[in-house]
Amino acid sequence: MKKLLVLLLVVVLVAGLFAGCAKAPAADAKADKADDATKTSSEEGAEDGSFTVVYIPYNTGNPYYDPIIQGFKDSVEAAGGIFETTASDTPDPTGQIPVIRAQIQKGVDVIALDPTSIDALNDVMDEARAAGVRMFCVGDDVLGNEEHREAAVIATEYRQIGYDSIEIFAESMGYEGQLAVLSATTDSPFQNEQIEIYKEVLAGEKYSNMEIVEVFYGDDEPEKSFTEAEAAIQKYPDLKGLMCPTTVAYVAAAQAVENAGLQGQVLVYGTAFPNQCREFIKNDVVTGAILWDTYRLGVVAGEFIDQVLHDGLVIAEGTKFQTSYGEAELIENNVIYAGPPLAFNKDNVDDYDF
Amino acid sequence: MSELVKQKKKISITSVRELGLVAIILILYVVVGLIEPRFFSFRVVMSIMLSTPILIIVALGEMTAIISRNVEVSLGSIMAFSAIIGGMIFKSNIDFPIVVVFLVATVVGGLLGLLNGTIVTLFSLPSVIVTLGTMNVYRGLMFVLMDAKQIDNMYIPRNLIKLAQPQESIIGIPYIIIISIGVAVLVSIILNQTKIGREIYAVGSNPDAARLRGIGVNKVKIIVFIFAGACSGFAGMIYMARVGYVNPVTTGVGMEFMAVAAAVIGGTSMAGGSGKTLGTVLGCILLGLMMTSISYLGIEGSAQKAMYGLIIIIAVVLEKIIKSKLGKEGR
Amino acid sequence: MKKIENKSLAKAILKPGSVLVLFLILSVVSGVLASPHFLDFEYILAAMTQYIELGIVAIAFTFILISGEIDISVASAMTLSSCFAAILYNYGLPMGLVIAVTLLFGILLGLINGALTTFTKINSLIITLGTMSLYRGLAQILIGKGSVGDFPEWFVGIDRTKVFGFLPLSIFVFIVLIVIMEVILKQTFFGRKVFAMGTNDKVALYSGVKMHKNKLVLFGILGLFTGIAGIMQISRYGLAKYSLGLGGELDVITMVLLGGTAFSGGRGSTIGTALAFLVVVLIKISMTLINMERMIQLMIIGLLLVVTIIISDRLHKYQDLNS
Repeated sequence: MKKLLVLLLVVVLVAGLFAGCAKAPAADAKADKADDATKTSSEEGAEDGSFTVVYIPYNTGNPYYDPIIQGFKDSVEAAGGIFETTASDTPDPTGQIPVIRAQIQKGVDVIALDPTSIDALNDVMDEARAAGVRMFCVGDDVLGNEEHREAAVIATEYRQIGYDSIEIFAESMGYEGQLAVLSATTDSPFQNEQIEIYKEVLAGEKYSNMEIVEVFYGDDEPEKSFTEAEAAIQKYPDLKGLMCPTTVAYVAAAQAVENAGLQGQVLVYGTAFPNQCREFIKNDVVTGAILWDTYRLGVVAGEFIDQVLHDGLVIAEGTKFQTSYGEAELIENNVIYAGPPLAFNKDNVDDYDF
Repeated sequence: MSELVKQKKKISITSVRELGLVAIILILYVVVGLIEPRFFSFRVVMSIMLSTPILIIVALGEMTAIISRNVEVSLGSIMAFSAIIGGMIFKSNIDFPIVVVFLVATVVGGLLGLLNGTIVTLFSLPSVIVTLGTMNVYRGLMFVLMDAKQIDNMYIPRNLIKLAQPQESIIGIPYIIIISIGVAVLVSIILNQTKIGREIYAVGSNPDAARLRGIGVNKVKIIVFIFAGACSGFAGMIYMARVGYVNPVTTGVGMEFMAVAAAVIGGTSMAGGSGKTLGTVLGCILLGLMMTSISYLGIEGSAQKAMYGLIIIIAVVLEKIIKSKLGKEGR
Repeated sequence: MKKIENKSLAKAILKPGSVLVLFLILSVVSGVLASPHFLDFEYILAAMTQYIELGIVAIAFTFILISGEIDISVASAMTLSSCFAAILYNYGLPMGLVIAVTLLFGILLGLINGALTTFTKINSLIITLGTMSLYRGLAQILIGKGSVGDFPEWFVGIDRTKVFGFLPLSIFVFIVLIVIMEVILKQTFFGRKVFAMGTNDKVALYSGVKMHKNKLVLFGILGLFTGIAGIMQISRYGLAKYSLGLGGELDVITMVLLGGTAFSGGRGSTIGTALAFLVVVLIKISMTLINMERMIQLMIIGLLLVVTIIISDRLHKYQDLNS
């Protein structure tokens, strides 16, 4: 009886292996048609019109990527290509490198990745290109190591977010009053750059009645961000606004304001995912938030790659090309911004799901 | 009546250990507060208290397992699995009665615990290895069965989130804290006052002797696993209330580790047969205090792991030293 | 007559080792079925180098498990050694010296585990549960969030340097270590002592203090191996990050148990571990080649672990009954 159970378990295990196999052979088979089961395939694939693009995000199970993947998939398939995506569970090069190597082995035409490290991936990117695979970064870039990838498509220019957000916020505050900033950690580069921009803008004439009283640090932890937000509200009784350049802080600040019953008196703004701030926007606790259009990032990436592969688009600074959203351009270091920052408010927050 | 007397006796004999823990907690709080004065505020105390219920409930389940001489390292995955199922119910209908979803999550957790217990007892295998395996199996199962995705904030009923806010509460204490204290009291009663509780201790102390006394060792073990799983499932809902979202990849990762740490700090012996609810709860509070202190002192989160490890080792070594000084032999 | 023949045939087949062979065959078959890109010897060798450090740690882990102890801090210790080496080099020490010091450091980490276990008589599982976190945390403190690299040319790329024209150097090191350790295990007196410690603690106990010394030595050896693995790791990546090898303990335990070493001690072989390493790596390669969702990959490895211990436990008992 027990031996039977043992046998059953072995069968289950083997079935599990094959079940996993069964999930992807269709995609794999299609890729093989295009490349004859040999390693280098770019030329063959391009001639057929059928090409394979693999997108390797930061990690798996991360809803942030869903719209990007959808946009990417839509544009690649519209161009007649095959789109696959896979990722490791930890946002680490340890996990990304074997995945990239496997794609090289399979002979895909294009690898697009959101790099988990600025420098650890140099060798594997070179390996890919030596094997004839096109290499792009989509989402984030390998700053300082741009020569290892061909081009990068970024969602939006981060500095622009800073300018746009402080302007929207200042306007909603009526260009006067005290505001505090709730940031992540003291050395997080994105947030610090945003804060620099806030200070730069607020130094101007138009904003002379506004003042940043203090910067609080929530360390991107929900707990701490929450208590810091409350600390800010209590310490500055005349506080009119809380600016939060990170979603964690934003959600904490909005919650703190709602708990204290101060919606309308203390305004909250910053960067946040639409799904996380939707409730607050609908309940009028906040007026909105700012981020970027992730679906657009995917679409632009796909269309760019298609034109590089099939329309002879030259990858060089200054090259311009057409996308479904209008014209896009390669700037310094072959970087492309998919679009401008996206401001969410009551009217449009339901159009987005991430 | 005599039961009450027995219980009172047990409370007054509450050993040096628990008092020691309370002392350590207070000392640590004061020291950190002196360095960072913002620590001395109701808000911060509330923040510390609010971070403990999830851990308390899971740790109580883990404690029970350890008492019976089993180690459960899949509790984090069970918590995530149950929370995802609960979340998916809310996603399809946000007005679904919260109490029912709590029940479903608890039952799901219990079932996964049952699976663990069955494998361990049916094949007489070491629980730590089995649960090491099932830890990953349950994570992956979420994807195979449900193509699990993150349950975003907007799908979670406002009333559930309110359970974790200080505003909606009894005398200023948020509901989830009261709930976790309630669970702790319940566990304490079960372990100290009921037959199954005594059997759990007996099985952990000396399984062979317990068997000779007519105790169904396998039955007890399975019950323990079901209980630990159920606790984790319940804790999954508390997580949803407190954190405001659930992610199938990251939720609960490392939770079992902290649960073991809390139980061990609280006096639960890895050899089995001993462990106190109060001790485990204090252990959770100490860990919560440490977590908050680290971020307030400006120490990077990077030091957390090192501290946890150090605390476990110190706690375990201290216990051994104390026990040998007092001449007891770990039973 | 027939009954006896059948029984000896059954005994011959139903050895714990046969499970390993079965899984080896299954892993190759499933790999071939999964992807036409699987049966590429060069690719498999290259992919194998990505897991070889864990394999090296698994070799020494086998010894520890046979002796009745366990050490789940191995992956953290390995990465701590990596980070330690990186920091030392960036402080200006020549790489050769860094390697030597790091190996000593690895031994130290192992001895800490050993000392805490033997002198406090606390279960090695709980001690190493603590050090697993402690060592990883120390690595985090040393390196911070980013990575430290910039190693000398000659040091980097151990996985790309080929021996005999085709074999990656790291795999060569692995094979050499297996052979050495298997000889020690099976052919020396020390090896027999290791088995003795695992089979019957009390019998070995009559050698008194010697058992403590021997266990310390074993932990030290494991520490040395984590140091070696740590150095090979940064040679392969060209940098050190605190998060390298996160979760590696699960893979190591799976490999060692699949290889026929009993969790309760007293049984095992490094050859078995090496073959099990092969099985785990082949399965991982095929899963990655078909872009299997990572969480499901983890599930398969978890299932592999559970099924492994169930089967090998059954077979050990069957073997015991019939010998």
